[in-house]
Amino acid sequence: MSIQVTPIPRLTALTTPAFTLGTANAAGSAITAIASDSTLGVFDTTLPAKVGTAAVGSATVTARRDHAHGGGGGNLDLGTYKLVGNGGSTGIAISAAGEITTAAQPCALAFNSATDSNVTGNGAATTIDFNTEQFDQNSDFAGDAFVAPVAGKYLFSFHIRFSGGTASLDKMTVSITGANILTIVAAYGGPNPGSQAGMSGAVIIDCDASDSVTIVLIGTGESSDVIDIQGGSNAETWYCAELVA
Amino acid sequence: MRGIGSVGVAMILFPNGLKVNPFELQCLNHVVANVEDWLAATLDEKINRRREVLLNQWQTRLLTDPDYSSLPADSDALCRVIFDHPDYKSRYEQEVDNQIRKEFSLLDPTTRRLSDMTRVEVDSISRFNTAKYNSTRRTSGATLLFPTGLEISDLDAQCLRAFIVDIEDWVHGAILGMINRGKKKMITQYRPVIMSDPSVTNMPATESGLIDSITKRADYRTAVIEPTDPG
Repeated sequence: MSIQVTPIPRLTALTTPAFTLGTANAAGSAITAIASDSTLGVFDTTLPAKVGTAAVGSATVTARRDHAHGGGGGNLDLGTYKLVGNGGSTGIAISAAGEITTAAQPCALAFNSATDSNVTGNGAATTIDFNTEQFDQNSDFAGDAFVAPVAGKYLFSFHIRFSGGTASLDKMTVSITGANILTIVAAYGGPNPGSQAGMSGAVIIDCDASDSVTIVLIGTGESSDVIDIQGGSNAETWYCAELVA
Repeated sequence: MRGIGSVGVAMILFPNGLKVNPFELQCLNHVVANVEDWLAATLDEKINRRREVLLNQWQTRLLTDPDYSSLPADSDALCRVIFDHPDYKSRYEQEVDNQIRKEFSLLDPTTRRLSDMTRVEVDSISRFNTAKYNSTRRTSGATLLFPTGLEISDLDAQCLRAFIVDIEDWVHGAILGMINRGKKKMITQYRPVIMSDPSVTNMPATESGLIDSITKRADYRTAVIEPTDPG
């Protein structure tokens, strides 16, 4: 007895895969078939831009490479060299030459434009008047006070030019106050300052959001408040504040 | 009554509310979606940060203090241990000490006595923001925030007073700062819009007039609560 083997003819022609990628599964209409060892082209050879730390993905279904994030989630715009965070429109900008600027980073300079007469000398505590703003990047300065917009470490610096003291003037103490500590950063205990003298200081303070920070001067030893705080069109008496960390 | 922070015996800030005039409210609404929510959250954040700093500052000291054989693991209880410590001084008490030392140092060394030193002058510094807030009139059309006050626990108040002299003065500084921020940001954002608008020939010459004209524009938008990005 002999067995005759007759090959079964292919009923369907195998073709090149032609799937359409989408966001949900759907039945197609073609009556052709593909082989189980076909190659499906879902990658190209473009090297992805470097964003963060490289890592292997884990999602079964991922967004397409040309997807766009909503504004609320932040944005790294490599076209304009700008990192914009949390729905904002400004952020960290990097120039073509590599300079980094932060247009909304809290940073302000204000000065006293007119001399304030007889404000201390006999123990009066006077909040120094800084009535002219040179710049105020994030709108944090007003009414002689810098108000911290976020919690962080802020650098405060100042110079106070004063006059009117006599030989009786004993001491001039400047405090940066309103934050969480009274920071005495400068004390003038020298001889009679005569017509003019100055005091400078700088300190980094841990501020909470909405801490209001002012510069306070107390002069002592005079029989009355005869000390004047100098001011003018040049920044003789000035106050700087900057978020540093 | 609005309450924030930890539970416990409470103190009430601004028992009669906190007024802002229409101009101030416009400025605030430009940068915060809900003024009461922002202010309560800001104060709450400050309480939490100050509590953390207080605990950190005292931790080493208490751990090396032979008078303590054990310390509570509970944050509230540990804060109370700190406040009961004989060396603890609130910010106000520190300011008084500073002032007394300053004045004492000026006296004749041969006759001065520390026990005679009682005069202190810290009020003018500690209430700088309240004085500024009170210098603005808020009558007709004013909005009353927290109409029955803002409640915080005594323990939270103590945590704040470890670092600031007057809590209400701090809140006044916070709200004045945000009013200023809103005003400046609004003007910075909309002045170019107005100047490039062919239908506008003149701009108001006062801040309040400018703010009023900006907020009446059809394209003006106040701050809004951003929807959460699902990822």
